[in-house]
Amino acid sequence: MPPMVASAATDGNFAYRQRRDFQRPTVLSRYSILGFLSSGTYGRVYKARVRKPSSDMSPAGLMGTPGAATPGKRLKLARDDGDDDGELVAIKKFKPDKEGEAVTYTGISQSACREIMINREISHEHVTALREVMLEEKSIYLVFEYAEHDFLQIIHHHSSTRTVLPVAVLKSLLWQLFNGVSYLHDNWIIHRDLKPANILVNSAGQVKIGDLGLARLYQEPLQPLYTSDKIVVTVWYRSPELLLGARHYTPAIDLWSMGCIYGELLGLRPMFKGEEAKVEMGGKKGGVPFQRDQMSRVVEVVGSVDRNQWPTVTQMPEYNQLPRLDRHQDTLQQWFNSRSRNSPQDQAAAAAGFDLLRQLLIYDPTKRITARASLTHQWWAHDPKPHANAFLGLPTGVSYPMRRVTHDESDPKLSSNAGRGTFASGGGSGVASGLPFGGGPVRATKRSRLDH
Amino acid sequence: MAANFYLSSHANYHLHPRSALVSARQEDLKHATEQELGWIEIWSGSVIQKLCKRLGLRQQVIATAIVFFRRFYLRNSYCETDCALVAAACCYVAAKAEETPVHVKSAVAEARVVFNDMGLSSFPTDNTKLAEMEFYLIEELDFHLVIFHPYRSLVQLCGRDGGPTAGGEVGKATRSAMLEMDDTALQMAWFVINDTFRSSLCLIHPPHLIAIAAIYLAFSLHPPPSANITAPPPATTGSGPSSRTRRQSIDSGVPSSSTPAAPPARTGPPPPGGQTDPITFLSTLNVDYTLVLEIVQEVISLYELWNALESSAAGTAAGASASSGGGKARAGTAKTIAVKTPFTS
Repeated sequence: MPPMVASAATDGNFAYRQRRDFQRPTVLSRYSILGFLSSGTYGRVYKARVRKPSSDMSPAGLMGTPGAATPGKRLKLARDDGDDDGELVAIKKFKPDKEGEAVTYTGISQSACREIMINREISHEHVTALREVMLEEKSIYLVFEYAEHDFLQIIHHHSSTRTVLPVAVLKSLLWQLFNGVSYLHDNWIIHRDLKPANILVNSAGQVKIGDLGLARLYQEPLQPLYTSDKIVVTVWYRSPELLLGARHYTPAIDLWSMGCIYGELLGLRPMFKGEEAKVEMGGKKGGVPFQRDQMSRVVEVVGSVDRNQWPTVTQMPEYNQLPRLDRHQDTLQQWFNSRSRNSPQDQAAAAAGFDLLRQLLIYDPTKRITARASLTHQWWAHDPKPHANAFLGLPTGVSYPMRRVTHDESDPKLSSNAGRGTFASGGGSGVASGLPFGGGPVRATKRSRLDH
Repeated sequence: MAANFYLSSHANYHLHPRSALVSARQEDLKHATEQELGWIEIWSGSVIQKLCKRLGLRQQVIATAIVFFRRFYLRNSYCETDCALVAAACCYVAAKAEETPVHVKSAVAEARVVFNDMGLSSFPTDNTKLAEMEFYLIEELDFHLVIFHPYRSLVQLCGRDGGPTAGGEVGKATRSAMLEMDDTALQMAWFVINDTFRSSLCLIHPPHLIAIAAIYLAFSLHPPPSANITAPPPATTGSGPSSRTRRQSIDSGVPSSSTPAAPPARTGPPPPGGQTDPITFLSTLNVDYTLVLEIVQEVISLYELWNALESSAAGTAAGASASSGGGKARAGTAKTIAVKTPFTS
């Protein structure tokens, strides 16, 4: 039953809700939607522009115009609104819950709750800023600063044009990423889904870590992290301790992901591209399978796990799986040499660059380099030095393509009524999948990205 | 944020002067006395605790839920909203914010049990009502869901927080010299902190000041061994400090040598400076003791108010009228002075 029909006699909050609904500005009174960016299990992401406050579309909440705030009486979706100088934003709309055809409230997802909770506390130049949260017609809208690019798109650009990612750009991107991750870890936040698609770069060449939908605070948790989320991190970027079923883990899992990302920037394809074993419902141990292929890919490059170098590995739940994998030598140095683009006379810089990769891809999480320590790694002191604008390192005339915006007319608009709101359930256009803002634990297990 | 209280939303947006609390109650004061509104604070804290316990939620979640409730009613009046639904929504959201979520169905089912027991049969059966309230609630909270609690400050101050990596606004500064507190005193301080959530102290004071006030009260109520008190420790569950209140622990077992009916009187003589000398320790902390004393007095006033509520609930009208003399903000003068002494000496 829609809230407006409830009678005031039986509903103690009727007057309260009416007052609040009246005060609330609508999304479209504040932003003009430029198009649709991506979708996922969580909902959809739109590109939008901030409307000028002086616009004739007066924000209902501020002006108190009752008409504009009446649900169902929405402003039209406008793509050509003047306001060309308004700031760009990305609006993430969480899919509303549905019971049959009617949109209803079933509770905010843990993922949305985390993303809101963490973003509202933090502020850092290398973490995507949450401008505001809006509630409208049973949906949550998170309004983020807009970033034109992301690591995945940059990697894809170079691999498809058969060009190399210049060392100066690579180093600047990585430095800024480490900086942002350090900030998160200093604040007791583990990201738990670092991957190229989630690391954005704005047109000023600034890295912006995005998608904190799987992130969580880990200071004195009330229950082990494993208890609330059985599967974290997209499988290609998942650390060995997670692959081996660790019940307790630390921010070191993010550093492993960073090693994989570093490797992907060098090789322009995923460093450990394993086949994901599907989660079997009702299978053993709550249905979390051992990711044999993924672990094999890692071992092929980094070498078989040595108990002497990682003493506690024997306590891992999936430890007995390790002897069943083929034996491999550690070939990381060769892997690096064949992909490193340092000029031969720059041996010292190359060695330092390799050392960082090596330290990120150490099996034992307690020995892996920390984000904070990585910021003082000697590699950064070698030329070319990292820059606040990563794109300064690009050859003149080279630039990355802009994020694709679609104007699919069949897309239900932000302005749709509750009744006909058939918000896409991951069925968006193909180009959209894998773009930033992928959301929740389910998605972390999904391979949703462009194939190389 | 999570590493630094002073950069948190809690510190920067959600600590208010007492006057803000008073003006938030203007509408309610048309229908109820100041004392009755104080009782609503006690009642709501108890209700939230009851509901969270039924949902198997920990004390930290209970505290977060109560802070959400207080923040909500800083902007709204009791008389214009459905307190039961708001309280249930606070528990539901707090469980998520503290990463121990419960299903909306369980929250509704347990809330119905709790409120039915109180004779409030109007709690909605419809899950969507609670989920809808959640929406409005997080909006009222400005989407600020990370809450700092005195419990963490307490364990940090006495060095029980798992090592030097665990930082905190108070803990860091005093890591070199920890407060020595035996388990009984620590538990007593914990109970006092539980009690502070029956008031609005969490809207006024930062958590570490509340923790220090609780430590002080704990030492006053349970002097260190040097004071020659052979009190049996309050019965504990064995799983660490729980959600019991100090008052409950007094009822169930602390020495009978004093008057259980009047807890504030138990503040007694200040503990002499023994080997541990907690008072000296507390005085070395770089905090404003006028604020700590203010909190101590607030807690004592809360106990008076609470006693009055219970005697009133027991049907003894005399109890209610007898204790209503001072109102919330005034503790008995003698008690105030007795409490003040150690810091001023």
